[in-house]
Amino acid sequence: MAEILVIAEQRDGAFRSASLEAIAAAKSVKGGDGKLAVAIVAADPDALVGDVSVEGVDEVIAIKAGSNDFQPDLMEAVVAALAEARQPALIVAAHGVDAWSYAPVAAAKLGFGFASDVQALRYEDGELVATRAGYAEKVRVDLDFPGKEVVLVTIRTNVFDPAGGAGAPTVTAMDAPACDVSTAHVGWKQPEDAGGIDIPGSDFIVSIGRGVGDESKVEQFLELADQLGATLGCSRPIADNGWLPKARQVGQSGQLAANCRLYIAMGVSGSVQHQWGMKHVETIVAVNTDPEASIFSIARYGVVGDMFEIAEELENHF
Amino acid sequence: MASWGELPGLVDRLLDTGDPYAALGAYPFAHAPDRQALEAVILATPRLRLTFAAAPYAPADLLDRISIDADGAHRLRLAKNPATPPSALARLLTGDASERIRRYVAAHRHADAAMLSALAVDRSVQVRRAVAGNRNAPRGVLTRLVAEGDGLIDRNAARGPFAGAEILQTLWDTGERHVRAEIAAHPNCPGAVLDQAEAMSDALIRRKLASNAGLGIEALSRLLTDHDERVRAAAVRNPVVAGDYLDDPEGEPSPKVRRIFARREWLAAHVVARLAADPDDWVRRWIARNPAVPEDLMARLAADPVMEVRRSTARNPACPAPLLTILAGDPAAWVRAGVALREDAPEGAISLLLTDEDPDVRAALGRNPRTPASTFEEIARHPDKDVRRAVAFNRAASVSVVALLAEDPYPLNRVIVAGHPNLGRAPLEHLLDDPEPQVRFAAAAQLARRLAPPPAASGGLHINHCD
Amino acid sequence: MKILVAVKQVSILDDEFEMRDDGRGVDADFFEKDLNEFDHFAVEEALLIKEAAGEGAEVVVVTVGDDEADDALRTALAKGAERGIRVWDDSLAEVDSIAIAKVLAKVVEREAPDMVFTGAQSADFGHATTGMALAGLLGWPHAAVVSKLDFVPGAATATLHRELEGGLEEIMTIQCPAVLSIQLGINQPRYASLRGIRQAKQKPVEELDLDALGLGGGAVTSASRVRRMYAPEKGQAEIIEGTVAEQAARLAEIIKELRGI
Ligand SMILES: Cc1cc2nc3c(=O)[nH]c(=O)nc-3n(C[C@H](O)[C@H](O)[C@H](O)COP(=O)(O)OP(=O)(O)OC[C@H]3O[C@@H](n4cnc5c(N)ncnc54)[C@H](O)[C@@H]3O)c2cc1C
Repeated sequence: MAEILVIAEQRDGAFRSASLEAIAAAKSVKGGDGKLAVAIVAADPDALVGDVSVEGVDEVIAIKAGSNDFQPDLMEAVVAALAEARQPALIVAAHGVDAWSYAPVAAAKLGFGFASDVQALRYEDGELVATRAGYAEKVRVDLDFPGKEVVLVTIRTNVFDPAGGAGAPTVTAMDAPACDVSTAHVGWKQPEDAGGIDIPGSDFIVSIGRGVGDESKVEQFLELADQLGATLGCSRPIADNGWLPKARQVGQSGQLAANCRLYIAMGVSGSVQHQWGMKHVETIVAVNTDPEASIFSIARYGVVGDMFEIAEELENHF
Repeated sequence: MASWGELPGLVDRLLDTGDPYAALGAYPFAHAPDRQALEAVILATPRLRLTFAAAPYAPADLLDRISIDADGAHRLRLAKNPATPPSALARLLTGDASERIRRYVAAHRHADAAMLSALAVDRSVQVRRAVAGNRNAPRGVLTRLVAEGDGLIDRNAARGPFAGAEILQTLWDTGERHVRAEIAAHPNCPGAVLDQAEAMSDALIRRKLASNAGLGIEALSRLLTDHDERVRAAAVRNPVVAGDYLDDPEGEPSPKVRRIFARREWLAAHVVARLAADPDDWVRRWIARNPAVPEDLMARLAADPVMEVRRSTARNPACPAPLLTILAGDPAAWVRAGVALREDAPEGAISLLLTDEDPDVRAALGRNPRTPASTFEEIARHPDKDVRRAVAFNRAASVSVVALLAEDPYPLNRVIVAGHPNLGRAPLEHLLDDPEPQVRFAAAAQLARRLAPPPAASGGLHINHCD
Repeated sequence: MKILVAVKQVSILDDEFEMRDDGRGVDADFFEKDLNEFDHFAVEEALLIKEAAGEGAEVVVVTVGDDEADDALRTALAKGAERGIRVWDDSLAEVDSIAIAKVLAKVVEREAPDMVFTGAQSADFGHATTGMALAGLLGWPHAAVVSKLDFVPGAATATLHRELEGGLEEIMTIQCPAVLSIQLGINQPRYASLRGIRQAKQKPVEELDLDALGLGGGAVTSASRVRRMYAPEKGQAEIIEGTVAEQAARLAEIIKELRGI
């Protein structure tokens, strides 16, 4: 079986651990006699060889570049050079923002088969099949790549367990290919440390909707959130009525819960606009009296019940 | 063609343009023959039929109509749609309804006693559990279901409004801890069971008992001194506890329980005084909202270092006018917005707020009918669409201000203003040609409502007002 | 000065839907269509640059799609874009993003804009592919997920922020013309005024087929093919049963577990 090549990444010299998930994805289709090579491009690639020397990796290609800056043109030249030299059947990278910038470019230029945001890989009758989601996660799509000798895929994060265990790959040193670059790194901007209400930054949100009924009931949910160590969010009607400040509104015309791991929606029906604000949430719990509420179709756990009763009971545990 | 000034004229026009959303808006107000014609427009394509079968804003008669020749996808959507009327639900149960459909019907708020009796002998336990959990389930059905001995059926039945003392006694004798806890809280719980519950060592059961509004004051006063703070909290919350029994938050070591005290109505003056000086922020936040707070204490709470306590004071219906004027100058915008929302805010407070630039304050003023007309117009032209929308909710907004919002670029603002009583005939008709389906729906519904002979029919789009 | 914005009419599915008989797609009756949300931001960014540039500046929107996609163009035109281009051919019904990029590349060659914007991804499939693949085919400078842009028409370079993981942003310069994929939040997309919507009806939309772009005869090939499409197992919440006390106890457990308490 031909070689599989993983393009590992660094940012400002620090290894990006999502690359270990890409390696795991590559391993999932590596046959017994297959070969898995991992390439990493950096100013001092040797310093990163250890990070990718995990079990199952046969070779690390340490590619020395002039700097640690992310240059899409350079990454594309690297992919082209390695594809030419190694003739891999499959090239794998993490579906991170850097790969967004170079992977489709390389695939289009070089005529590769291509799929992004892939959640599973396998061979069916000798044909590579990649699975990804479609229609806003409502369907799965199995893709194949007829007539393509090289296929490039990017792997969704948090699907594969990062590859681990000690490996003993051979290390090949290489200089980055010469190429013109059209971008230049200027600097970094760290995320802002917003004080006060911070829906985008919160990792735990309890959110209330119109099920709360009237303003006098809002306070007890502020208190509940406080007891639970959560940030209180709300649906739009609650903010529209002035019961809670706009900064707490989750949704299309409000805030995006960008870093939320646990979101407890109480008395929220789950309109598409509200869901928009919840799209990055890992675990959604819905409490709603209406078993048909659409919030239940996106929630991981559901309680069909009254938000006040649940809230009152919940307080007994914190 | 009938004139535009009458309902048939409007219907003609809607049939003419063939717009399903506007047709749907007018549908509940139209007469039977017109309805049939409108149905042809509303349900013209398979995509539309699917959309409306699932739409909670679809009128009951239309859903009934869809149920007549519904196929699999439609039936499921109808069974899930909370607006589906009993007639349509009954139709869904004929033939070989899938388990999923039977389950949704069994849990449906419009399922009647006859359907529930039939579903109570369904072969699927999921369906039977759903029947037991339906608030409409009659006593006979519950009795039959409880005989099964299924844990989840028992849990549901123990809460059923129609579960009588007999069922509850049976369940108490056989049921496990969580079933018993439900029974202890049931208004129909037999007296002997109440006594047994009080003596139980399981705090969950005593806590549930303490929340039973049918419990006597003697038992409750004992539970008020329970060693478990959760039991005491439940007792303080119980509306039966009142007057002298609602005393001694000072001796209460648990802030959780004191917070509940602070939320109670009819507190004695000395109790209010103690709570207003409580070291726990939440106790003060709650008491600051309590109308029992006298003026002098209110003034103290209005100067509390915790912003939320001051906001609570601003939202307290008993907050006196001079204090509201002070709060209108609070450094925190959220406190000032609390004042701006008040229809009883004194002149002085309102005029202080008129120049306030904070969006929360602007939006609150937009909702307040006391705001002067000139300010409404400014707010209706505010760059923030959410601030502008506040005016669309305000019944006091004038014809000209409302007309401004009918031209608002933000679709939701047009949807809401379409329902405003002061929106003129011409701008309302204009909204029938709006590019947004929701706006056309709302405009047609409003026009039809105005043209329809009283009493107005029900149905319509539910939009964002919860006041 | 001209900015070309490539937009997509995305398909939105309700919770209940049925697959096509061939098992490779969804029954079209179940779709609702809308302009891709990310594209609102791309269009807005182009309009802001145009408005700052003044006279003679132009925003052109292009889409590859059947006549239902006209709505997407009209939405952008109503906001203030000058004209639209829609490319369609029935052979494009099943192609992937890379094939769409091949079509767009021909349009870019024809229009020779100073900048090309796309949305960072589409809301339905989230490929995040079309814009960057287009750059690759054109050999143009490119950057994905642009969350801030400083571009003066005529300048040789632009400065931009790329939004990276965890809210970190990278500031970089890029040579122009370039293809940039635009991130949500880069601006506040406007809503078309009712007047804009009326005017949009009069604005020109050019309809092109593949022959007109010199792409006839199977020149547009995909980098992947849909083998099958299916509903994933269980999009439904695990319902926590029992009495309120039991439900709350379980909920507390979940909270404590996920919060590591
Ligand atoms: C362009 C546009 C932008 C929008 N942007 C946003 C946005 O950013 N954020 C947003 O949230 N909305 C937004 N909306 C509004 C959105 O469409 C919905 O109207 C809104 O999300 C509904 O809020 P809700 O879920 O609180 O209310 P509802 O839909 O009324 O739902 C209330 C829910 O509470 C349940 N309930 C009632 N009583 C109880 C109880 N005692 N216990 C438990 N449950 C109970 C009901 O069953 C129901 O499901 C936008 C709309 C438009 C058109």
